[in-house]
Amino acid sequence: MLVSTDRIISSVIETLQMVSISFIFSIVIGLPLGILLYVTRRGQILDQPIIFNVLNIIINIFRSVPFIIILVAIIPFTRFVVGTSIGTEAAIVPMVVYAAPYIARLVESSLLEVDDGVLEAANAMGATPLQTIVRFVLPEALSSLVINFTIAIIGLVGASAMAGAVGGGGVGDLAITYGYQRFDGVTMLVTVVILIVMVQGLQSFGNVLSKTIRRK
Amino acid sequence: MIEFIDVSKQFNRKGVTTDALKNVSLKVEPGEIFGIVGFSGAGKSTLIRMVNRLESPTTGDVKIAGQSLEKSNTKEIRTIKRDIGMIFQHFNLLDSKTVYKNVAMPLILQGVDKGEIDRRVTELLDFVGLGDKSKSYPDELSGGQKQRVGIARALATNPKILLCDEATSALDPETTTQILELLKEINQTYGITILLITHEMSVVREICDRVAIMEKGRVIEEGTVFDIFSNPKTDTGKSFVNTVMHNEVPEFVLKLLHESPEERHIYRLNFVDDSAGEPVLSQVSKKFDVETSVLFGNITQLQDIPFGNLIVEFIGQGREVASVLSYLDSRNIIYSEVTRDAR
Repeated sequence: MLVSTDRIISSVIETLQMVSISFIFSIVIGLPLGILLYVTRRGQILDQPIIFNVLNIIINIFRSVPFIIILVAIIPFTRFVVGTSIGTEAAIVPMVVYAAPYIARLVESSLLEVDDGVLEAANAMGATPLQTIVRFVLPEALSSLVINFTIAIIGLVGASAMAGAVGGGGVGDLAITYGYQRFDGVTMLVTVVILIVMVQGLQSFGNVLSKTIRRK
Repeated sequence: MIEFIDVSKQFNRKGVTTDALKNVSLKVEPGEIFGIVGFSGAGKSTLIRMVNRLESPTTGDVKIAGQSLEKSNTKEIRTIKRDIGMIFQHFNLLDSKTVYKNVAMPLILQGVDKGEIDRRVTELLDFVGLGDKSKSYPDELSGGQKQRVGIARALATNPKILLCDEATSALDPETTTQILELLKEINQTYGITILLITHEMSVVREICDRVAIMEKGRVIEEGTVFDIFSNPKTDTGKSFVNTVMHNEVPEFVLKLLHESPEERHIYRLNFVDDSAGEPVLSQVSKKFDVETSVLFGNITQLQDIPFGNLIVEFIGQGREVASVLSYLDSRNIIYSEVTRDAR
């Protein structure tokens, strides 16, 4: 193996940083967008088909571009935001651009699962639209949201590995520069195992968390 | 308390317009239990939802305690809704919240302070008999218990009106009886006006004071439970009443009529109130030259009034039978001739 254990550990940390920071930003942007999609849908709480359609199309556009294209296509924007297009910080920008619309969609689908009867009860109690979302819809959807966020964060782990291709750092970077370009099979194997462990861990954590919420 | 004034509702789906309600006018008096019955699709569900503005009429108006909903803005309607509790067929509880939180929800929405919420929720849970379940989650409860939570939640804000949307349709008969008793108790203890919709006539007989029968978006019959049950006028009304009263002419009587070559005088007699106990038939046999033969009969109670239903054959001359009928008239006994095409 051409790389030291320290190097592996530091790239694991880089990956975790990229994934967690981009995940947080994606939620901050994606959650409100998802809620907006949900409430503006025809027949829903706010019923604003025009806003819904515009948002719907924009999100679809972002969602149809493959991550590897986003990565290079938005380099000028990345440079504008973080000042550079190489390194861990630079990878976070395209990761958020990739994941936020994805999360918006996942949030929308989670919220749509909430039973219409609950909305009817909220309406009968005279809840305001904000109260309906905060007190009724979000708590009822929480368990499903956690499952969907798990899917999103695993998507980000995959994206972070790809970001390695353009010098984003992290485990993916290691796999490409050593495993692929220098034919170091052991490093390749180690990085793949690390990624498997990460994905398995996140999925199990998400499942347990979702289950706990459902029961509580 | 609740007044529907010439309410019509059209739904427009994919360019096809359907009339859900056509010119419905009804008045529900304060403190009464009013039932609306009808088959599914009759419009009763749309109608009850107009009371708390879950639906709005296409034309017409709904007044709650004299206040027009059509003339009220969103904020005013929200205030009116606090005076209206609602329970649902499928309970519509929050699965993610405890029983306590579910009942507290309407109060939380109004920003009532914690101590007051605690007092009110405890009182309500005791009232519905779930004092020990406050920390449970809805999925740990039976259907009847869930509906009790629904009832406690609906009463949280001390409403003046309780709407029941097929509240017992998802429950077994025994649980249904218990829930209906609870509703009656609520009506009597707190004087809350109850408007309920159901497709079960037994629910109406059990607790309603007045009833309206709906068909194809219209109210086709309306009256006290006693009037409707003792003397339904429309075919739909009759078939609903027959589901619980078994008032239909038995098959063998019709067969008798069909197969008999000569004319037979078969009558349905309805005894009401005091007359139910009177020996009218034996009087008839004594006074007139006819023999009476009871073919079928039952006596039930409607709103605590005894109600008898007999199918009787008078055997004798036509003229004698005619005087029997005028005698029945003088005794205020409701009768009708059973004919071959009777139902």
